[in-house]
Amino acid sequence: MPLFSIQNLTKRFGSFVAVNNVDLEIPETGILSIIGPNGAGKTTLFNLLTGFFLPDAGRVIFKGQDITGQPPYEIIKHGISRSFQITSLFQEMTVLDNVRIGIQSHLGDKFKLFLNFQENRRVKQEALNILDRVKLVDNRMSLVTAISHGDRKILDLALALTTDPSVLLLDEPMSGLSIQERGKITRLICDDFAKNMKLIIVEHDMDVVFSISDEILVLNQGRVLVRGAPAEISRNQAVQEAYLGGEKCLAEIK
Amino acid sequence: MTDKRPATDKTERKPPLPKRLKDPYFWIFLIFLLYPTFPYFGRFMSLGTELLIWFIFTLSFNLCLGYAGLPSFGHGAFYGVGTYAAGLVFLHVFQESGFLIPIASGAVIGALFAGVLGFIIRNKKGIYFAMLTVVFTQVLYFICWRWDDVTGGESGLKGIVRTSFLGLDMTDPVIFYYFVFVVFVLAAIVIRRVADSSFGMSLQAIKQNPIRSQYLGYNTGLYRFLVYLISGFFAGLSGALYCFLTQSAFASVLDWTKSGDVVIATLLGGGTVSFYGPIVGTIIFIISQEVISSFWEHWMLLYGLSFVVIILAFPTGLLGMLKKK
Amino acid sequence: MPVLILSLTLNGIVLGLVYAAVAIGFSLVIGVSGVINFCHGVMFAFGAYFFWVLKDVIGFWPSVAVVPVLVGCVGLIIERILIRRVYGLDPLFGLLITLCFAISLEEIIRMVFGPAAYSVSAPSFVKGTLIWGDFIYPQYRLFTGAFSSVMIASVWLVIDRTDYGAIVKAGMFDSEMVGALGHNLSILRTSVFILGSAIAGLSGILAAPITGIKSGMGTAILMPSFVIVLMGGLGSIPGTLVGGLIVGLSTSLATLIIPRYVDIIPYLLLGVILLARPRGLFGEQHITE
Repeated sequence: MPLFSIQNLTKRFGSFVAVNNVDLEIPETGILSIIGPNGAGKTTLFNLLTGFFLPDAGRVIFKGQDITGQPPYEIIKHGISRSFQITSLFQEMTVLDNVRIGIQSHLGDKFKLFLNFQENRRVKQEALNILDRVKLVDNRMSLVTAISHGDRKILDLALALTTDPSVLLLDEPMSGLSIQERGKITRLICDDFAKNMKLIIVEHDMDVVFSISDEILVLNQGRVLVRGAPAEISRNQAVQEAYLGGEKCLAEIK
Repeated sequence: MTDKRPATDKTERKPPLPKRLKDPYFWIFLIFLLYPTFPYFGRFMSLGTELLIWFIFTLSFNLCLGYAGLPSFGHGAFYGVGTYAAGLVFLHVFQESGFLIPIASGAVIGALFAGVLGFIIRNKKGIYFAMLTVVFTQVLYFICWRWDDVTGGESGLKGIVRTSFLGLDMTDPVIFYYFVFVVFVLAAIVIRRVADSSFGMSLQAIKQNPIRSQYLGYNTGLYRFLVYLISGFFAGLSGALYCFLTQSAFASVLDWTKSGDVVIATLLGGGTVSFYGPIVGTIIFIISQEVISSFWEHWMLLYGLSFVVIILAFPTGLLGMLKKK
Repeated sequence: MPVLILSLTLNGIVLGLVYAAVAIGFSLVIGVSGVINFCHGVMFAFGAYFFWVLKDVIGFWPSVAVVPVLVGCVGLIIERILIRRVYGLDPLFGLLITLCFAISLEEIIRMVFGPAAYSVSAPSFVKGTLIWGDFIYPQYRLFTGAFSSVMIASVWLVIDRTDYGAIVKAGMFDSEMVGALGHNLSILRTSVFILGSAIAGLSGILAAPITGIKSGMGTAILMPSFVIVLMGGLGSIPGTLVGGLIVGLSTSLATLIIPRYVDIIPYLLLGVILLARPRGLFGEQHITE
């Protein structure tokens, strides 16, 4: 059974069709990367899969269950989680507290009216475990506004981990990062995430995409252009044309 | 805006003073325990009692405003509804039994109405949200004003008396003051526990990033509904206590031009940056009102203008301003 | 009985038109500037009070010309000194500031004019009553209805047909669009504020002989505006007109059935409308988010 079965998925914004009648099956294993020029509908697709947008038509089936239209807080119960292209954090809290917010939700403590947040050892320990995993422990007492952009991107990923997902959707995890920072995240993805979860990654950094992906999906103007292994994609004429006038020329890499 | 720290400071090393003395509540409780003995102010029991009542009101309202980030203009109405509920229960239902049940009724009815509004606005934002809360207050005002068989209309409810409770004579202003003081202490402790709790932190998370919160499993609408329920309960409780303080209930309490009062009192002291902001703000708000109104007939002019200036100059209130230094 | 109903219906329409005229300015400022302006009602009051002062000095029609200009000036001052400081902030601040300021303004009115009510009589050319068989109706109300209609129609024409109106429409809930189109957002906001204030002031003149002039009339006239704007849809002029008529008619006709709870009827209707259509009758979807 495919992990995701996407059927006739369409999303319009006024007269602009962001996702156009997409039919797609995503397998349970392997890192899938989604690439395409700006405006191709990649983030919109993520938003549709995770319940942030209601589709105008079509369905999203996850492990045989129709999850179309469920809000994000229901979707994550299926084990789906996502990170954000523009880091989406709790701006006035510390790094540790950010993660604790996620953990307390996962552990079911978030409703408790009389359980002191700061003194909750179970939540704190789990949060520290996650920070340890992403190597952000040293910064844990810093305010989000005081850490570097790279660390904020990592924190964004850490938050996505707090729901203990089996499927992780990463939306441009490399954007705005230096070579060194990209390396750090690539290692996280390959050494940790890929071994524990199904990964679906939207990314513009072609070096990364072509080196880590098992399968690449190319979107253009809201439709699936082509799909296949990295080697096939890099040779594909249509893909090269779609990218002309914006992105790196695919022939240059791999 | 600065980081919203928990109300009780958790420092890693042992503080030089005993922890109790560092707790602002210790000092607040102490001061108001001794209030009736103060040289000049001590005589104004009614003022002191009103301050305590408003502390309960604004501390709980701040869960909505400062913690959940919901600028609700409906809470004055829950206070007013609590006043009426307490008065009506006393007059028609439990004439003989004193005032614990009417006061509890005020709190419950306040929570009920707050729950209704909370449910309506649970997913609304911005201008639309603000307008709905104002309109809700208007409706309740009209109902209380017009349904005069029940509410006494413009002349309000009369004949409410404080009887004896636990053998103490509640008609004595000082004894009633201490009754309210006990209620205040209990309420204040409960509200602070909620603010420092997982739930309180959830509210802040939802305020700061509702989208990410949803992706972490928070049903944001449900939380907004719950914070309304809780703050409405305490608003109703405050109103009920006020009913017994003044031994009356008037529709003017629900006047929508007063719906800003609780917001101002909460903001003024710095409710958006500190848990204790509402206490500071309430003291400034109520006392300045008393002082100005006593020496000038047209005090409303000064009152209105000063708050305009203060809110524009210090949007994070007094404590917010002090924190920046 | 039918005569009574006709009379009440006309009352409702006239009242509704006055409400709508006041609500238009309120709605436009919300849409273009994102501010819920409590002071708007006081512009209505100023119109009435200024009229009371000037009408015996310069006459009816000159007052009708001069008073809106004066009220517009007051609006200009308020916008420049006060309102612009809250642009871009949470709606909370605009509401709070304008509420406090409105209280101060009403107090100033009370200081200058006293709390008692003043009455103004209708201008001599419409002082009489219209008689049509059994049906008797004051001419002045018909005049008010007609004049308000012209006012509302003019505003609608300006918004719908002129270049200025196009900018206003573009800026409705989308302040970035104004700059993107190369226009000055600040001037747009100020002009809309002045326009709304002037219309409210003019409505105050018209309403004065019918409702009387008393302190507190400013905040009183604003209550229906909230309902009307939510009913009709934020930022929509046709919506405001329809909302005003619904509120006016329902309030007026309800006196036949439940005279005591007349004030509550508009809120019930609002509840029903919002349940079926949260954005209001003519509102845009995105406003509710």
